[in-house]
Amino acid sequence: MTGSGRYAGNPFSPVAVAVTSDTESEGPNIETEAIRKGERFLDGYLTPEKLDNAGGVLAVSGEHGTGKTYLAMRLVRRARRADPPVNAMYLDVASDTFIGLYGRFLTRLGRDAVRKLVNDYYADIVADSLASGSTFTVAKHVRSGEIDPSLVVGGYQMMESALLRRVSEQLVSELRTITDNVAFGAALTLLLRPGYDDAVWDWLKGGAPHPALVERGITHRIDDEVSALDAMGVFALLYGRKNRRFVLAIDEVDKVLMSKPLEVETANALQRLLQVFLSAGSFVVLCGLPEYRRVLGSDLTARIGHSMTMPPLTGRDVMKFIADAQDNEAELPRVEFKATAVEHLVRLVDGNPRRVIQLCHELYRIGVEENKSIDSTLVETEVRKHVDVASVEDVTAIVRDLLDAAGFGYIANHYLGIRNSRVQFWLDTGTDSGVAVLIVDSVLADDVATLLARLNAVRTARQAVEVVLVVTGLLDPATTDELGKRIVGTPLRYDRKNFATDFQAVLRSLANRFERLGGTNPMSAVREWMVRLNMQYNSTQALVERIGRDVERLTSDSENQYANLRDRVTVFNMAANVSAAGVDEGERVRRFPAAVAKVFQEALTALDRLGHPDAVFDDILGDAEDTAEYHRRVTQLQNRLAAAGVYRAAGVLHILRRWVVSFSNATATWFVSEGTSARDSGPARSRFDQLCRAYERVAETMPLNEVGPLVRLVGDGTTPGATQLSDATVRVRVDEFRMQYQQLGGRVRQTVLAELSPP
Amino acid sequence: MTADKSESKSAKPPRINPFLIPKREHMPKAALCPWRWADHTEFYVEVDNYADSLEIFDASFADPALLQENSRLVLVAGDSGCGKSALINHCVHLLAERLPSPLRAVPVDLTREVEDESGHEMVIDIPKRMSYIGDKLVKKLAAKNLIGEPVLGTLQGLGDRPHELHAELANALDSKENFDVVLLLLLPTMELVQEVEKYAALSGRRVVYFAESLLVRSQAEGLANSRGAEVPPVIMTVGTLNPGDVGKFVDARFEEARTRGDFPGLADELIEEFENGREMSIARLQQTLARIYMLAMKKGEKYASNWTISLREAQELLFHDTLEGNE
Repeated sequence: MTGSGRYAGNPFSPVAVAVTSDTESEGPNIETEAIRKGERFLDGYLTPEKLDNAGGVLAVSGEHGTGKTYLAMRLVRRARRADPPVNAMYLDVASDTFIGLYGRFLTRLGRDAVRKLVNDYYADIVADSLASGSTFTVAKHVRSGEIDPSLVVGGYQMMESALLRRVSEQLVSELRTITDNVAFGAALTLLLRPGYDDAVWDWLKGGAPHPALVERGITHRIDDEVSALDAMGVFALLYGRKNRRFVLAIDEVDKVLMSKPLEVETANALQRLLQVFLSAGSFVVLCGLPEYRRVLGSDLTARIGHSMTMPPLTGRDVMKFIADAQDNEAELPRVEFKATAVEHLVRLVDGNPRRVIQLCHELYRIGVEENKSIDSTLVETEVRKHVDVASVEDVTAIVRDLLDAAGFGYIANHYLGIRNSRVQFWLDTGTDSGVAVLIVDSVLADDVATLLARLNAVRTARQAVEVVLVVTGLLDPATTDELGKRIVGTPLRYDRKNFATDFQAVLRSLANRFERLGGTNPMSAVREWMVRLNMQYNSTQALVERIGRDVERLTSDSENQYANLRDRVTVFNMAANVSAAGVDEGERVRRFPAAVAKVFQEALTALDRLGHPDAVFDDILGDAEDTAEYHRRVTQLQNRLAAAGVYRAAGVLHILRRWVVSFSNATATWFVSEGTSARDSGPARSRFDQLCRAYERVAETMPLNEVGPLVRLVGDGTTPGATQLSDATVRVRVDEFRMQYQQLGGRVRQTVLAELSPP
Repeated sequence: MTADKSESKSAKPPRINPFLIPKREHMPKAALCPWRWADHTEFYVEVDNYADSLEIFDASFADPALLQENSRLVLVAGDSGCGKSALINHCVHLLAERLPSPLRAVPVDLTREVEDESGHEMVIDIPKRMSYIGDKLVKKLAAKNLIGEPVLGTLQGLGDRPHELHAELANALDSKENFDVVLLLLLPTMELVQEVEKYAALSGRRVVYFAESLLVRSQAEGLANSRGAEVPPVIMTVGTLNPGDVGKFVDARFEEARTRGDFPGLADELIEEFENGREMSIARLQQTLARIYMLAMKKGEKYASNWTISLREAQELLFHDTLEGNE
């Protein structure tokens, strides 16, 4: 059964990013063997029969979008639902330092929770002091936590200062396994003293110690990687007392491990931290890109109990997911996804869960709007459109830069003399030999025959030719065997991050191949290349510069800019203008969270940057002169403005802008009046969900694809010598723009829920 | 015998709690304060190193007339509940008695004057604390009519310069012809060595600063050689009870209380438990015993001299009371 043609919502998330707030994901889950495996590891840790109180470390690796975050959150939520519930925390590495990670960890922990951990020590010491004579029974209840120790200390006029001194001494003694720094013991004890806690918390957050703390031996800041790691270990140890269970998931750990080489002291501190977590009986989940496993030394690797790599989804996984998702939203029209189409989809995106979900979102929409089943053809069309691709021109430019940077001579766009033998780059290695670099956009089943013919032509154009094939878009894995017989290795798939390294590796392998063929001088030249080859060039940077270049101009006083500014100020000052209707006057007006305001701010800024022609207009009018060149530029602007669709695109952008601003105002109003009621599921949360959904439903139906002409106008500019955007680049920008605004509802929802979650 | 005789024969002595100070039963945790209530001197018991401390104090103020030329700091250091406040109050009382004519002592209690406008106790912000105390001191002196305008205004203007304010105190008193007044200032508990040093270094005349602090003995004794002080501070320390002090204390209280009313005794095993208790301070001892007796009194008819409260009975009384969340 296919859709009715009326698109009213989508059972698949357009965002396809795991929800990391404390709220449960309300969408369908993808149950895979990886998820089950991770849960088994965790269950082994959580089992009450576990006697040894040992902790565990699970290392999860996988490329972007393979479900690492999703797994981490599943494990955290599973731990919290355990019986008895376990304290569990999800932490993503927002910066590339352990200091940043520690800061987030401490914030999530919260002052009250830390104070409670220290209070446990205090309770034991107070109980020890009471554990005789007339107060023996009281001691028992203090130790078990039924009676607050401070109540007893005050009531019995006990020597509070002496007891706290013992807390400090005990903490110092126990923390010695992590750090010789006695400051932590003294500082944590002071958290129990009113009047000191602000100073202590500031110090724990990395601030300079207050003179009152200095007097107590707390002299150094927590401001380097080692002290940050030691501090985390301190809290891990506190948590581990009394057989308390703690699950910590650290996501994107590659950011902090790969940002720069790990210094020896930092590596030792990290090893100590993992060991503390283990000894304290905590379960740590480390998630990151595969590279992070390589930088961990043997000592660190030895601490890892379990490892897993996130596998790609299978067709079966996705079929079930599609069925579950549509069952979950039974009121929406059902769209048939043919099994062959699903298998094709999985193959084309390498089973990447994020891409699968995003494409299901798009395919569902088409299925409803065009009232059709989803087949392989449709899958291929959408995958071509939505998978992150670069244009052939852009990658050609990148390869050119790589070769230039390495100092190699080549002939660009070279025709080898035989029909169909033109190649993007030809590197001569001798009178009748060379290396051809061929760059194509996609290679799917239908493309293979044509490509094979071209490869054959190139290879027969000279006596010895090696061909490097670069594919900038989709590559059907079924085609690689056939292609592999005619090229060096396998087709080199373009990937922003790794292309430079991959291309280098391919060229290196060429040296060995030519040598086997008996090449001499020409081949020694190739070998010489390899020695000199030093590709430091950052292809990601190049591509960003090529297709993501933004024109940033400072303008002033244009009415549009003022309106933009007014909108932005409104977003930031929402709480000042929005007061909760029906809320008591005495109640403080809640500020709209900066994080949510920032999401809207960024959306509006990106919209302006993409489609506001002010900079173009200012360029023209600011450069006015009585020259032919200037006349030509004005004519050019006229023509561009007259191009089909420019004014329509401006209208679309204007409507979208108003829609986003209204969404921001409505979100602020809801937040101030109902935000605190929405921490859990209920009417307030439902209303917010409907608000976000309403935004999405309308945004999805806006003809955002039609902003292309304005994007081209703004992107091209009229400055003499400016490179015009290619069609592919415009298409990429429009697609990115469309995805961003259609996904804005999901991002806002996620950010708001994160703000409402307890710290 | 007449009816009078028969009436007096049958009158029962009142039931009293021997560990509460008469007429201060509603303030069981308050320290003895003889400079306010002279009869409190009867209730001091020589436990811990109390006698030694008084000797130090006596020796330091052998010639109180010297105060006309210099101010001085008296610091009592020790853990909470060990009797710092009681010792200070006793010293204030003794010094007030000892001042030679025509000098007269005016105690000024500033021990509770470090809560800011929001009610939070300032603990570690020393400049703010000293400024606050200075301000409160000036107001109290004005309220006692010891200073008046325009000196009052001058002193208030020195709020953020405590060193100058305190240096001017004697002159301020003299301006209203209070040439005979020696101020005995009871300061709030100090947490930090730095704050004690600042007070020790204050210059001025006719002021004795009494401070108590949770500093440990070594820190306190180190202050005796405080470089900033013209006249070295008087340092006394208090600590936990010595062996035999529990019995001494109980006997002293019982002896005094028997003249006032009726109360049960304490089993030897219970006293022994207290003697063996860890970190037994005078305040803890006094408070626990006072509470045991208060709870026993609530129980009713049994409360009389023919009842000896056993260890077990005391345990039960305290346990149930603690569970109910009572202090």
